[in-house]
Amino acid sequence: MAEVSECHRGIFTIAGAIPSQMQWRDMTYEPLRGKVWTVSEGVNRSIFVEGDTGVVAFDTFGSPMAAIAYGMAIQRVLPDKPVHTIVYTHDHLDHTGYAADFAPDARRIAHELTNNVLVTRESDGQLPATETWTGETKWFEIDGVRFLMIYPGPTHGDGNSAAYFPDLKLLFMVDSIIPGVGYTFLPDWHLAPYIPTVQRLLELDFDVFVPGHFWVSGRDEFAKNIRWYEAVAHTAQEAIVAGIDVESLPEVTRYANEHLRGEYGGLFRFDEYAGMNLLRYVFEYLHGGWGLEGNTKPRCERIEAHGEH
Amino acid sequence: MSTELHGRYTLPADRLGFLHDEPELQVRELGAGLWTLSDGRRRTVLADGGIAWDTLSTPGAARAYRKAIGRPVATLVYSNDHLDRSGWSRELEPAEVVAHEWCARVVELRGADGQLPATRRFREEQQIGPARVFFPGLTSASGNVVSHFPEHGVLYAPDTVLPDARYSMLPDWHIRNFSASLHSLLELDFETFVPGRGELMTRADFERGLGFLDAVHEAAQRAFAESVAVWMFDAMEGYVKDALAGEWSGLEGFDDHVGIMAFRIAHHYLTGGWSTEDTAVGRPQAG
Repeated sequence: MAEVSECHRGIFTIAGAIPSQMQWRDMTYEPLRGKVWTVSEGVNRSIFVEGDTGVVAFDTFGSPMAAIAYGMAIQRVLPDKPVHTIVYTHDHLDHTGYAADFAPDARRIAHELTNNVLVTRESDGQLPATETWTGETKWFEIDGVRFLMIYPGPTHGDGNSAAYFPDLKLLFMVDSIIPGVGYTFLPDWHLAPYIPTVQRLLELDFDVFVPGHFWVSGRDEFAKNIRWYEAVAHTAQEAIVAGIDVESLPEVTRYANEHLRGEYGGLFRFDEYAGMNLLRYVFEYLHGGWGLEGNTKPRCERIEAHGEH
Repeated sequence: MSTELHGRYTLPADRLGFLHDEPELQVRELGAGLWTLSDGRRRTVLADGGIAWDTLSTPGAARAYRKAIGRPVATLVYSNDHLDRSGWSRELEPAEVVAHEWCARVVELRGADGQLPATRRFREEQQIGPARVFFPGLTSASGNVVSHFPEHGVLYAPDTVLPDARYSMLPDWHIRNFSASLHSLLELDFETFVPGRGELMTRADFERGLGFLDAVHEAAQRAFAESVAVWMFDAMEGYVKDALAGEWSGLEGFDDHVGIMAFRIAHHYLTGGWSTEDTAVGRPQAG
């Protein structure tokens, strides 16, 4: 078990200790299907899988202390099996920032687009991949654990990829589909390709969906979440047409309450984030999408999930 | 002139009439052969010889802009890729479109109906009419350049510093690098700063605007470091208002905007920044 280090500061630039990096996080964990477990500290969520000799873990959680707690949770469940492999879902520190505190000697796998950022970022505590993969899909069979990694196109972050366990009908993908409305102001979401890209995942045969935050859900919740994004995209355009002060969060939040609460007000965190979701979409239409990722044309063809492996 | 342009909007055409209204432009001379124009939403500059910057924020505004220019546009400079800045060049019918190479890549990939691709891409500083046009490092958007008019003592740098606090969620800003990039502009000799929105600013206004951005940046990072819940807007807003209101609450828009500004910046530290642009080397995104 790695000891927590005060020097793993992520990208903070202020001097002195960073108390939020050192807060203990209680992890809860439960078996899902087969040898797949899910683990959460109440906000972030991940999975780990028991292999023949060790553990294939996904991501690291979002602080040095959370990474340590993650490692201890796995050790409690599988005391004789070390984490020998970490699979990164994407580049963000709140999910993959602290391998140095979690399992510094593990094999680390990431999509090439993810690793491009990890290498360039040089964040303290985030370790680049030891091996990368490219393209849209790649099968892995590691220590008796078999899964398909899928990069369906730009959704959120860089190289954000799903892990698909077809034999278990289980899909895990972080920071794309999340219970309720979208997270805050949809940070680093790539909205132009987003909806058609996540819709492609519905072509897969799964009935358990593990998101990167909050609770485990299924296909219906997955599809319902896409409908929310469609509604926000439409409402953002209507807000611009209506001539409200679309750069003011209070104004946009009022508009969201007037036009979205009726049908969607029951969604988890509507009160907190509906206005911010709408604000982000307003800028999508004013600006035309951000950067190359925000202007990439989505792929439409079926994801090949039954090929050679 | 086309009235069919719709950018990225997907609403039916009969809902998009606002795009095609021609606003009355406010025009002001900045010096011999140099003017600034505003449609009330966005501001730009225009130089003698049919050299224009950007397109204003709608096709209708772009048509009004063209009428104000009153002659064929010889050269159109894109300050950045955003549609509300350079999205309606088709209405201006320029002979030449000049853009930084990062901006040009995004414009080409986007393929928006009113935004012409660049005909001349650059990486190094360009002399365009009376202006030195160059990329100062990452600030906001893709390939956002500044235009310095040394003979006039004028600097035009849209989507950077504002005369107020109305930055909203700092959309498409590159948090890792913006401050250093903007501070580098203080090495230039200018007395008038032309922002992309709002009223003209003095050099002192620009320096104060930079001070505000830096203060919000510092407070947001400190809030996250001190365990203010980064996903709770009210908590973050309360923290930064307590920290900043004493010095900055007089800026117009402070109450409505400082919370979401800080929320955005705190998420930079939570996520690590967005793509390779938001790293120390500021490398463009992989295509």
